[in-house]
Amino acid sequence: MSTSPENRDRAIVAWAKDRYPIAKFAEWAKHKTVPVGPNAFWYYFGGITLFLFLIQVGTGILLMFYYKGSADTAFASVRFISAKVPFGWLIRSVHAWSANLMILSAFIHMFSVFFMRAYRKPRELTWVSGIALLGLLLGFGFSGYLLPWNELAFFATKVGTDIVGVIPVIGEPIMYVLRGGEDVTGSTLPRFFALHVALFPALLTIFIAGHLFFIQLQGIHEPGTWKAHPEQRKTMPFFPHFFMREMLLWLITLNILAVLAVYFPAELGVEADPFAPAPAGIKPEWYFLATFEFLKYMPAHVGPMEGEEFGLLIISIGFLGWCLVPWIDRGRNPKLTKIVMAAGVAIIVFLSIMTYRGFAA
Amino acid sequence: MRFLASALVIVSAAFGPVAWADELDEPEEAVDSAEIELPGGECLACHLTTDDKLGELWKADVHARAGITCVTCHGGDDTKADKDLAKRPGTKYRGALTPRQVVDSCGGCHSDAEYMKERKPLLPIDQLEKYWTSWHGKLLKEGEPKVAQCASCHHAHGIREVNDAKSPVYASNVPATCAHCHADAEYMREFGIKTNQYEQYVESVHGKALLEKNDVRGAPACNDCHGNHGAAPPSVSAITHICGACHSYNAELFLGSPLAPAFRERSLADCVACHGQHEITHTSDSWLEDEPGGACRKCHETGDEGSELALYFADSMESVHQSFDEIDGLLTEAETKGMDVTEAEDYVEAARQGLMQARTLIHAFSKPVMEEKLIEISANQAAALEAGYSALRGLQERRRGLAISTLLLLLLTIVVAIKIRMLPPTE
Amino acid sequence: MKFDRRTIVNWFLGGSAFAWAGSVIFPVLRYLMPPPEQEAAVSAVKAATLTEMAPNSGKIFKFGRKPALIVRRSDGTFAAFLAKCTHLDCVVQYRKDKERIWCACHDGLYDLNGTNVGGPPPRPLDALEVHMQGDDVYVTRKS
Repeated sequence: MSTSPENRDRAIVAWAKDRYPIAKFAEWAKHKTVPVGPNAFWYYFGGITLFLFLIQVGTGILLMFYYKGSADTAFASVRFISAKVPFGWLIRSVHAWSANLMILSAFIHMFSVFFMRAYRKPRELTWVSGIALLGLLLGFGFSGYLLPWNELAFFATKVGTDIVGVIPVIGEPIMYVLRGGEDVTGSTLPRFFALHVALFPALLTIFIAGHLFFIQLQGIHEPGTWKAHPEQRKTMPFFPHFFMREMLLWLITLNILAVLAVYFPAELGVEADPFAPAPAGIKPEWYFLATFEFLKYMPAHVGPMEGEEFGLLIISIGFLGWCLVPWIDRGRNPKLTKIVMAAGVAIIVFLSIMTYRGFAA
Repeated sequence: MRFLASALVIVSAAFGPVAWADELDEPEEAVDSAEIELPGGECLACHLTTDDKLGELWKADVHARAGITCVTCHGGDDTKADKDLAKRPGTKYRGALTPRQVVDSCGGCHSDAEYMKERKPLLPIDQLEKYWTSWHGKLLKEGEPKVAQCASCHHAHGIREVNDAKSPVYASNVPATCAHCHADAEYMREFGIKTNQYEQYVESVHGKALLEKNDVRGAPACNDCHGNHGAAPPSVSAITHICGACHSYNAELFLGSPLAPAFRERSLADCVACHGQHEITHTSDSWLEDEPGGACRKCHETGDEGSELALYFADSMESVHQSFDEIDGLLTEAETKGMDVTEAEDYVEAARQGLMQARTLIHAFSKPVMEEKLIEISANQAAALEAGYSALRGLQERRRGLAISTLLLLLLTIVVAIKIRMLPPTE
Repeated sequence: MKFDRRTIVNWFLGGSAFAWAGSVIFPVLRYLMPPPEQEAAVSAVKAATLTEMAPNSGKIFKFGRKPALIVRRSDGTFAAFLAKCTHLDCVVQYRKDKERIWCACHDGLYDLNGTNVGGPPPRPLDALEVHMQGDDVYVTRKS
């Protein structure tokens, strides 16, 4: 067996080695390590988010083969995908479920980074770019929700863009641009479609590249205690140890998506009618529920401001604080660190309660 | 010119606030009188002050807008401010009109083709002629003053066009207008007719369609069956024509059916015999059943030809309904499991239209006619069922596919897990 | 030929990965094959052919999911409408004898422009647009 597969493999490898710095890459890969410790499990969520994003790109492109982004045809084309195209229901349901799981895993990733205090110097920019990525994911969710052009999405978009309009000075023009007019109409759909399949993917790719580049340059954050006790330091090679585990998780994630798609396929509902009165129980997607619910609790007026405006102000301040966490908690003052961590817990509790109330309402 | 205009603007701007204040002080009447010059001359000088409603009614009256004055109906001389002079002999002053005078007075103009053509060419001129054919008119001629005349329904001084929703003869107001007398047992006692028509009507399909759904074009009010100016109970032989005015296909089928001559022989009032009159309710398939109280049982006996046919209708409807129940259950199941059933729903819709037509076709009282329609319905129902089952089969297929893919993944997972275990230990 | 444990595992890995990949790729390939039935998202429907419809005739056809009626007037021109009566949603039909569109439920009448001219219908039928292409008569949504 002189032409064993291995020999052939080697020939290909030799061919490639002749042209590309494979050896250098292999050397680099050999030395790339991932910390091992009680928190190691959480390290996988960044990768899962990335994987889900790749799923979104794949299924999204497939959906565009049949989707027609205009108010006359959008709903019918989505129904066509769900009902008539072979496995169309699967592609669409996976796209919808993957979107939700992606945002969920991005949240988990963010909070795990937060509680491991991995945002500290030198990873401030990784943190900020991560938040930008989450923002983009939410933008994806918001813009994608409208595309089937069903009643629920239509009114949720109306409410959502209304909230944008509350922002002083710039809110109204932004809302006008987003909606393509005074109101959510057929002209809004192509805009959201363009954002969803062109602008956001481009931005996201840039930010992901930056995010990964930072991680590559600086390595994965290691538990702080290791500095004091170097003997506790334990790592595993990225290739193949971590990589294979990550792959395994990806496979399992994909299967979870398939199970969800088969047992809980994405619904379509009834076609949007811009002139119909809003049906009862209009709710945004779960990741916007907390904000939606919080704004509902605002009084009509707070001092000179409108209630919603005030609510948005509080959210904006909170968000700004969240972005600036790496500069607030630099790890020099244990008391401050404790406060910041407590604030993180409080935020999770607050978001959970608000989201729950939003669901229950 | 331009200079003048701008000067005017400046001046009016300067006096603006003052003028505004003046306007506020002015009494409101001034604005009103500017709108319409109320006809009536000197009559109004007294009558508007003694009867505060009269002015308001008269303002809304189509005749006031057409320039007709008090004198046209009441006589007198409206150029005289003095009461005695205005009503002096020789002015044909006659005060409040008697019912007969009302009819003659309104009818005088409204039946005059030459006169009406100049003023309201689209309005019919046969009201008076019809009125004398009505029971109201006949009794009035005999000297009965309690019957309805023009003003009873149209009012005297606030007459509005029939399309004016505030008019008492606007479609949805007609039942209450008629009921004003006809539902008053005390008032109607001496005439010896029932007074429960309104009560029955408001609960009927027609009453609900008109008064609750406000279907003013479609649903009949009292006048649509009884006539308005010629109001009278329709004769037995006229019933089919009256109901057939809207339910034309039903009427056509019925008149062509073997039942029509049989009903005539027995002086049965066609539609009314089964459906009732003022109380007409939604039909029910249970009417066809061969049980005491069933519509057919009024004449037919168990075992005769008619009863057999009724039984056939009842069974057919029953089986159509059962199929619908089966389809509904199936489609609901498929839908809750996330399958698209829009195609099946299209067949269901077609079958429902068919059922509606089948119900109409009952009026032909013919088995072959019904059979043909039932074949069409069951074809659509079968197609809906097939679509529903195929959706469920699709679901099975999905699950089978998932199971296969999961099994393969499980295998892969195990192998990868083994592979991971075989990796050299980390440090 | 000797197989050590490592090689066997590698073969298994390759095999199962291949099989599993097949279960992912198969649906995708099937998805990419356009279904034979053309889209329900109608913008244009071939309602009839010129030869099939004599003047003074009508035909019910499906416009997407809705029943629609195409009529050929006596002068040879076409008109098309959604066939739901504007009174209570019965399906209307063409009456040759009256040259009218008729709803059997309550004797509603529309003229051949779809205008409600008799009976209960409160408003005209929803009109569609007719386009001719050779012998084919296409119907589209009113733009």
